[in-house]
Amino acid sequence: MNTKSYLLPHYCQNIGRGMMAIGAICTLVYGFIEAEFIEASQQWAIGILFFLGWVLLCLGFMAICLSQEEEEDEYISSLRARSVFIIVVYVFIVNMMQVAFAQFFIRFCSLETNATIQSIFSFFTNVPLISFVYLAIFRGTLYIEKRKARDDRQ
Amino acid sequence: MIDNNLRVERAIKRISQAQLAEAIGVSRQTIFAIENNKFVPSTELALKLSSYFGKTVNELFWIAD
Repeated sequence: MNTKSYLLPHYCQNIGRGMMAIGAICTLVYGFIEAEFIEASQQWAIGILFFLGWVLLCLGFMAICLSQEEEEDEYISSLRARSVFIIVVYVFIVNMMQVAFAQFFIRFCSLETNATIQSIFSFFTNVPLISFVYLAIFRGTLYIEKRKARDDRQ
Repeated sequence: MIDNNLRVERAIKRISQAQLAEAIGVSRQTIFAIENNKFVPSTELALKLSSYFGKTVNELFWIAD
């Protein structure tokens, strides 16, 4: 194929899964070891643990999202492009709503309510969630297509 | 809209979608999508398909009215 692919090789998906697993463990450990049980002098360690967990989770998701499928071809690439389009629209809509709500609630609600709404919106725009939604759409479409092709076997 | 007779040619050659996909180097979903007019292949893939069936691209693919 003459068209250059910017996707990572398929084996990077396994690297991404490994990174995600380590990231998830770090995040879980962070969740169990509450900051209050740690001495003030050890706070930096828990900070690093959370940072490491978050970064590995994000990088792991990115590696999976940006890696080729086992049999990546132009049709699968078109399904990937469609999923990316849906995600871009999703991010646009959530961001637009975030700005609109921020402008509205900041005038009529208490600071606390406004902060809650902002945190809800930031949850919907964080990298792992967006990556997860993208993967769910892409893999879901791929699964449906595979099933249809299997049903049509002749 | 681009139509094709890939399914007919495949039936004449008596090969399955999976066999054709393997011979061309694409996934079975791609062959399924092309046959059902859900996906228009690139020039490269159209040329590969036509060469596989010993036909010209125009004989395999055409613009439907």
